[in-house]
Amino acid sequence: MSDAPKVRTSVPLDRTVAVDTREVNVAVEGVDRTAISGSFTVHLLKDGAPIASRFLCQPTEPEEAVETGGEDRFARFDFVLPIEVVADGLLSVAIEPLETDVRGASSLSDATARATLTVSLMLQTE
Amino acid sequence: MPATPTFPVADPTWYDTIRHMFDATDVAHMSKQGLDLTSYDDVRASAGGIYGQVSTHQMPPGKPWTPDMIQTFLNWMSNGYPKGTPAAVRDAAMVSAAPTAASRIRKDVNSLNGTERDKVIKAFQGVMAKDPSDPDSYFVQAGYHWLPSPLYCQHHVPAYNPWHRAYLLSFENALRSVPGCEDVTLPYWDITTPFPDFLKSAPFDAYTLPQDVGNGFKKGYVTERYSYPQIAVNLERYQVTADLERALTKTDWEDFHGWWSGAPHNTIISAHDGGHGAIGPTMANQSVAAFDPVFWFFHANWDRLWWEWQKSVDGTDLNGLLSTINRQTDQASYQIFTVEPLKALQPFTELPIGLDTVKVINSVNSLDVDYAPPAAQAAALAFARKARFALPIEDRASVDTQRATVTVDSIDRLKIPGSFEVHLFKDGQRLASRFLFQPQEPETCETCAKNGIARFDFDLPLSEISGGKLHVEVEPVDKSFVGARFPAKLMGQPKMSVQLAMETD
Repeated sequence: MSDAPKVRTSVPLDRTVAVDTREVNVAVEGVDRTAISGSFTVHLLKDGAPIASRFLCQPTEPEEAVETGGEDRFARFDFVLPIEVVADGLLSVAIEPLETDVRGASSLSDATARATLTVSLMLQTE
Repeated sequence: MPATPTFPVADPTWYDTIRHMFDATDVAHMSKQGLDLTSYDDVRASAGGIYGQVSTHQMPPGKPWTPDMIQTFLNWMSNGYPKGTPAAVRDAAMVSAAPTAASRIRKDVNSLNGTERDKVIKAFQGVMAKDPSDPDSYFVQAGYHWLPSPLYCQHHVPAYNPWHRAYLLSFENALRSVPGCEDVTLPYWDITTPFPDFLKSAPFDAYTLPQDVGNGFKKGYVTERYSYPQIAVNLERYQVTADLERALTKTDWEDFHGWWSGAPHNTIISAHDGGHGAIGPTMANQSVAAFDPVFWFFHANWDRLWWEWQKSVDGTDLNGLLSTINRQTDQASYQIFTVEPLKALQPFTELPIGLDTVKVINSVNSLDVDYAPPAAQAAALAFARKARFALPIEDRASVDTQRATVTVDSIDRLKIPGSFEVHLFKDGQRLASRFLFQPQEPETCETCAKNGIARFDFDLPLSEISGGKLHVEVEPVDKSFVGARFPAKLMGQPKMSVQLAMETD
């Protein structure tokens, strides 16, 4: 079995890369998981309908599990999808806490205050 | 002035309707209450309160909104506060040909008659003949751009366009100091057309420094250009026409410029830099660029394009221009027009011309300057949707899967001596190039040091980047330091990615 090429969305400038144009990486970055009580699901939607979902498992009081001021406070989710799946429609993101009655909408808005959505192609290096 | 809409408007947007519902009195009044009615973000955030006030039928004081206006505002809220585009689809011919109250009409250099050409020649000969200590001399005026010291750099910053507008007026006034040239105006070169023949001969073909200016540029240095066929090739290589046309389709200030606030770097600043790099060794070198006489015709064109864009987005006065700036995310731009000390455009604020960022906004009313349409009229350009590579996840976006942008990011340009090119290669063949215009010692430039990290965006059809190996090279104009390929390890931690642009309202 041969080694698979290393795949990244970003590489140092001194590298040579091949671009995979068949798939995209839709990334949701910067979700403050300490503002969400317990586990939650991140849904990627197209025209309002889910096309992919990710689940993050964490304690009901996640702030106790992350390092104070640490980068692990902010979660990243990657959805690798065929490029045609993201074409011809409006993409959006929804976060669904498992324990919906613990913290309200204001907490969710705190969680997503600095969260961003990006769509990248995967770069293969040797 | 925008046409007054017929209220109620079923589908109003910020750009076509809502911002025009607040007049200068409303803006000034509410500013004292901490609410900026020129700001989309502020009006959106306070929309509920604004609706509550106007729906009493007593606000604004003395001229309350009609029920149809109130309904229009509510429609905007109900529809999700769309930003939209200005009312009319941009028609370049109509915008350019509109009547003007200005007496200084700058013309396309290719449209000048014989008398006008003779007067421009006489004016340039006159300022070039002045003693280098004369404030109206070509030497002093060109020196404001960079060398000799003191140094004034306003590039890759929000004051770029305002500063150069003031600069052009200063130079035009100098031209008018020549006897017999009291009404001369500075023509422009429409850079989408070939290099003008008029500028290929004296006194426009070259200038000789009458004294040392520093950085090795000594008395007797003669400005240099590439061959004219090579200039045409270079302009195409740096995608100057594509970038400036793209800029004119943008509605937000940050996107027209394309350098800060996450805006793709492929609009007016990219076009300007590419133009400098295309013309020759002198124009490519910020130290001496303004000494090449073509600089003035080149920059009159960038000012014309800024003015054309201002007119197309109803941004020809302070409030109109502010309505195109995203106050929350682009504070630097907002502040140069609203915070007194930041309005200065040195040296032109302290010089007798006395201009600042606000005073240059309305070219016609404040400066008495307007532009005649280009000899080769451009086709009408429709406004485009806003494009971004990273969006807040509250937004909804469509993805263009036919094109991709190769982004070269995190280049510490302060480590690179002087201007440089960034080349994108596929299987060893150059696919595209970009040019960045900067001083020979950028780390000594206060303006450059404040935004020393550069990003380059190569927007290409998906098919062009697939099926091969990509790599990037950075080539400095001055190759005496490390040769033709600047090592990646010497310019911070630059990286490459390939992103699909997302389009939003």
